[in-house]
This record gives sequence, C-alpha cells and structure tokens, in this order.
Amino acid sequence: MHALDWLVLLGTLAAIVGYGVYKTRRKAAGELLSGSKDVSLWTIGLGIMATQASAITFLSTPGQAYAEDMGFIQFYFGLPLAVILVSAFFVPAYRKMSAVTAYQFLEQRFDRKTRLFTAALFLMSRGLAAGITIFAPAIVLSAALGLSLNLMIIIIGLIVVFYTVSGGSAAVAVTQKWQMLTILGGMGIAAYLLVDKIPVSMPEAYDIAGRMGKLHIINTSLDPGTRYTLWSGLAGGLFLSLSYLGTDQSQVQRYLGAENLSTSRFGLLFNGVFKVPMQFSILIIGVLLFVFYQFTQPPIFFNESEVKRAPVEVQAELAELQRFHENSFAAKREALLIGDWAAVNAHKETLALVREQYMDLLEENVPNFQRKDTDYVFITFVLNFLPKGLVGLLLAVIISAAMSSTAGEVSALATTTYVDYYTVFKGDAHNSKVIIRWLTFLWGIAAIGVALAAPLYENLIQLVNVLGSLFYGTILGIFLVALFIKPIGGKAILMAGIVGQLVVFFCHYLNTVEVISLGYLWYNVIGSVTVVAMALAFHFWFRKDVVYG
Amino acid sequence: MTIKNSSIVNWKKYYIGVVALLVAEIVAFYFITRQYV
Repeated sequence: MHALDWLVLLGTLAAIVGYGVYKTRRKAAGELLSGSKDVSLWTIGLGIMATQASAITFLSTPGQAYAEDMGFIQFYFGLPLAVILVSAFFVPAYRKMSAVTAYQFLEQRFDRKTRLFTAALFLMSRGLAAGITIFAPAIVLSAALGLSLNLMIIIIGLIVVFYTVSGGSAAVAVTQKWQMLTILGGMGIAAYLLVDKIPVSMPEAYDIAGRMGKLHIINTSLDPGTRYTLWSGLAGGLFLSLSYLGTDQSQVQRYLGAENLSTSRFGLLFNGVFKVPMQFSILIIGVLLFVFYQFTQPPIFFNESEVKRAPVEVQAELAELQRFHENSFAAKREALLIGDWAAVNAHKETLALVREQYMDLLEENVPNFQRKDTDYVFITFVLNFLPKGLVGLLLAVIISAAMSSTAGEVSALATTTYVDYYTVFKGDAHNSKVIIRWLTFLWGIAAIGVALAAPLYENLIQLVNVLGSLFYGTILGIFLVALFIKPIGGKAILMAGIVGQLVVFFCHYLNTVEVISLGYLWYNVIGSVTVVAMALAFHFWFRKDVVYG
Repeated sequence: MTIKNSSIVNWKKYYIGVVALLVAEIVAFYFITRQYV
C-alpha cells in the first residue's frame, strides 16, 4: 500500500478516536453508562445505524450481490415495522422508569430472576458476537494487506478498547456519527469511481445486470428452507429487528441516550427510513462491480492469499486454467459488446466451470482451503482500482465500521454487567466510574480473546452467524409478554423463557443434522411465539393450582 | 435538531409514512424483479 494511503488511513482513524476522547473527557459515571442525554437526533439516528453496520456489512454485502443477486435486501423489510413498534411501546416503557438498561424494566414488571436470566442471555450472545465483529473484518483485511491476522485483530481491538474505556457510552455516541458519515462518504466515492470505470452507459449496465440475473430482488417462494424471501424478511426480519432494536442493550443504549422521548423516537424512525435504501445502495455497488467485471478481467478466485498457499507442483495446472479463463473472458466480452446473448451465456457457463475446476484443484492441494471468496470481491476492487489516498480512506471506512459496532457492543456489555449484576448484588459503588471502565476494558479484552480464538474453532464462526437469532427470539418473547400480557407473572415467564430457549436450540440441532431445513431467521419467530404461548400455558396452569390446590 | 415535547407530535402520521415508504420500496423492487424474469 502507498505511503499516502497509510497517511489517510491512520489520519482518519486518529481523528475519529481523538474526537471521541476529546469530546467526552471528564464524564460522570452515569454518562459513561447511558451517554450525556444531550445528544441530537442525528447522533442518535446515525449511531443506531453505525452500531448495526459492522465492517462485514461493507465487505460481504457487495460480494453477495456480485455472486448471487439482490435478494438479501429482503432481510431488512421487517426493520421499519419493528422501528414503529419499538418507538410506540418499548421506548415509552423504558423512559417512564428512567431505565439505563432494558433488563431493569423486567425486574419492575416481573422479578429479579427474570431480569438476571434475560441479561445473561444478552451477555452470552453479544459477548461472543463482539469478538466476531473484530474477527470477520480482520481476516479479510489481513489477507488483503498481507499483515498477520492476529496483529490485525489486536490493532482493531485495542483502538476500540482505548476510546470505549476512556469515554464509555458517550464516546461511542459522539464518534459513531462521524464514523457513519465517513462510511457513507467513502462508499459514495467508491460507487462514483466504479460508475466512471464501466465502459457502457448506465441504462446499458442496468440491462446487462438484469439479463444476467443480478436484479432479482423479491422472492415470493413459500419454501421455509430458502433463506431470503419476502415472507422470511417481513416476518423473521420483523421479529429479529424487534428483538435487536427493542431489547439488545447495544441499541437501547443509543436511543436512551437522547434528551427526551421525541428525540429517541425520531432517532429510531431515522433508522426505519434510511436502512433499506442504505442496504440497497450497498447491494447496487455489488451489482456495479459485477458489470465492471464483465469488461475487466476479474481474478478467477478473489482471495489471493489462498491461491498463494498452493504448492509449486500445481502452479502449472493453475496457470493453464488461468489462461483458459482469460481466453473465455475475452470471447465473452466481445459477445457482450455486440449484444450476442446466446454466446454470452455459453461463455458464462464455461467461465463458471473453469472457476469450479480451479477451486477444486486448490481444495485438493491447500490444507483448510476456504472456498467462499465473496467477502474479498469489494476489497480486491478497492486495492486494485482506486486511486492512491482513496484506498486508505476506504480501508478507514471498513475499520471504522468494525470499531463502531464493536465499541457499541463492548460498551453495552459493560453497562449491563454493572447495572444488572454489580449493582443488584453489591449496590451502587462509590467508585463506579473506575468499575465501569474496568468492566469495559475486560469485555474489550474478552472480545479480542474470542477473535483470536475464532480460527481454532471452525464451527464457532458459523454458530456466531446465527447466534443473534438463537437467543433473540426468547428475549423478545419475554419483553412482548412484559409489555402486552399484564396478568402473567415472574414464575410463568421464567419457565416459558427456559422452554422457549430449549425449543430454539432443538430446532437448530435438527437443522444442523439436516432433519429439517429452516432459514435461521425463523428461529426468531419460533422463540418468541413459544415463549408467549408457554407463558400463557404456565400462567393458567399455576392459576388452576391456586384455585384447586 | 431536538424536539422538546413528544405529546404535540402526531406520531401516527410518521408511522404511516414509514409503512408507506416500505410498501413503495417493495412494490418498486417487485417490478424491477419482474422485468427480467
């Protein structure tokens, strides 16, 4: 990477971190927990979006549209509906009792055991997820930059720990606005340059993308095994977003940091309005990349670090496949320019076959070969085709996204540990500021530890991908009962929560051993519905015992 | 931009706006998809 890129990269990161630390110096303990209550609508709205948008959003999403189509957008259709429900019911309930964490509300509504159980589910799922939000981008960045993976994890992790410990939730809130603006600006510049490099007009590019299947956005299939459909997006996405926005402390902390109910609500609505268009724009970048690579020779396999691991004896065979790929690509390009779609499709199939052979050869000869290369599509374009300086800016964007989501989570984990466990068992500490900082530090180090351990457990990464959905359904079910079914008490909800969680685990097990085929978004629906149904059943069972017992 | 009093805001109007935007997006995406099926 050029010196100018390093300068832009380090300068942008230093400016964001420095700003966060400067703006939040001399904060009181309460502000470390929930922010300073004077942040604006823009800070709340952009903060909520920045916590949600992890680095992998910007690395994976364009790759997804490049390799498949734009169907992933359906995952976000439930979010605007969830925003409305959270704004109308959850936020007023939290603000009425001046809650710092979402779980405090459960003690007031049910009992302490339910509060501790739900907070424990949150700490478990987000504790692991915080590690993966560092690990996932670090693996891509280290491969792309040729740096050691562990070094990359430690660099990203320590930056996050430094400013989250120094400024707590308030530092997260003020830096996220600038991180999100850097991210949006950087992606906008990348899109502009991409359009500039495509040799055909935009209507022609649109037609090429459409004819090659990239503009499939809505899938109305009723098959529950299909991951992204209109129905799984609306129903599963609604439950997932409702749980995430309404009960995940990393989100709750953002909007409870607002000075009043209106600002909290507008911050959420901001998210509801801009989320789908933002994800659509990122997917469009993937489609533009696809069109760009119809006219510019793409690598057969985008993760070059895996190709470099191939032993010398297969290099000649790989080079032969590479030559064949280049010839087929040139022929396809010619066919595309004269509009001969029959020839384009024939060459397209040949190219796909050559790629399969290439990957099979690597798989046979490279130990632990990773076949999935979609995460490397966007970063390969950035590193190879953007001008000097902008490469550094785009890398700053990706690292900023990793930092903003991890910082949001680490800060929420520390807040929940302090408010829902420390103060419950030990009472308010006179040196609370020091304790909160220590907890933030320890959760940050734990996240770095999970990230460093991730490569050792191949299944861990897969598990963490569905982790949110594994726990969120149960947590949401508990909150739905708390808000909407007033007669149900603590004993019934705790037992329903345990049963709901076991049912979700059992479904996941059946999915893993391929007895059933279920998109993971449906876990959110199953968990919530089971908890609500079981809470009602336990409630009537216990009441019967009281009446007849 | 901060708004001081939540009770004077007609939230229903904003919620309908968010739903209308989502419906418009889904309809637009549906027609884009249909073009090349």
